[in-house]
Amino acid sequence: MATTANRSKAIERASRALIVFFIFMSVISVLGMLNRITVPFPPGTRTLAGVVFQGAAITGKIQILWLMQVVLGAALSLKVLYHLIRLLVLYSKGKVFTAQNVAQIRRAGLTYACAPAVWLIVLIGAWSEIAAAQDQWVNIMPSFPGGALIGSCILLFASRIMNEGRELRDEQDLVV
Amino acid sequence: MAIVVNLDVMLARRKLQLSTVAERIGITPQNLSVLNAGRARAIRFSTLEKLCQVLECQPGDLLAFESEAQSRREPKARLGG
Repeated sequence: MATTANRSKAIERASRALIVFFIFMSVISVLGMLNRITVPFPPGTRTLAGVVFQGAAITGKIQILWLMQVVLGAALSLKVLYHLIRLLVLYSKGKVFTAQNVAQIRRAGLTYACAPAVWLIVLIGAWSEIAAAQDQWVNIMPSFPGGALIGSCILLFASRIMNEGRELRDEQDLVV
Repeated sequence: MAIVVNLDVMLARRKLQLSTVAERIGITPQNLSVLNAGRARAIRFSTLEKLCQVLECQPGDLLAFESEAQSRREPKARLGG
C-alpha cells in the first residue's frame, strides 16, 4: 500500500508533467487563434453562432464580431488553462486542499461559464443579419457552447468538494 | 463544557521546554503549541501516551474537565472550538 509520502510524490510528478502539457496546449491555442484569423476556414467565410456569412454578407460589423468571437474564445481558453496551470503548480509543490487550490478551480469554472455569454453577445450583435439568413437558423442552437457550460458546472462543483476537503484538512491539522 | 489542557503546568513542573518535549515525542513544536494554546480539536491516544511517558505523569495531570461556570471564573487553555 502506498505511503502518504509516496502518494504525494506521485501527485507532484504527475502535476509537473501536466504543467508541461497545459503550457503546450496554451501555445497551440494561441497559434490556432492566429491561424483562424489569418486563414479562415472555409475560405472566404465567417461563421457567427453557427451561421455562415460569405461574400458581400461579410460587412465590417460581421468582420468585427467574428474577430471578437475568435479572440475572446481564445482568451477564455487561455485563462482557463492559466488557472489550471497555477493549480498544477500548487499541486507540484505538495499543496493539496488549500484555499488557493479551491480559488483556482473556481476561477477556471467561472471563466468557462463566460463562453455562452460570448456566444450570446455575438448572436445579439449580429441578430439583424442572422435573422435574414432563415435557412441557417437550424445551425444556431448546435453552435451553443454547451460543453463549456457543462465543464463550468463540473469545475464549480469540484471547487465546492475541494473546499470541503480543505475544511477537513484544516480540522485534521488541529488534531495533535 | 470544556476540556482544559494543563501542558504548560506539567512543562513547568518538569522544567522542560515545549520544543524539547515535541522532539522527544516526535511531533513538531508548532503542532504541540497548538495543544498548548488550546486550539487543538482532538488528541491521539498515541500522542497522549508519549506525553505521559516524557512528562512522567497521568493523562489526568494533562487534561481536566471544566464546566462553563468554572471556566468563566478561571479562563485557561481549552481543547475544542
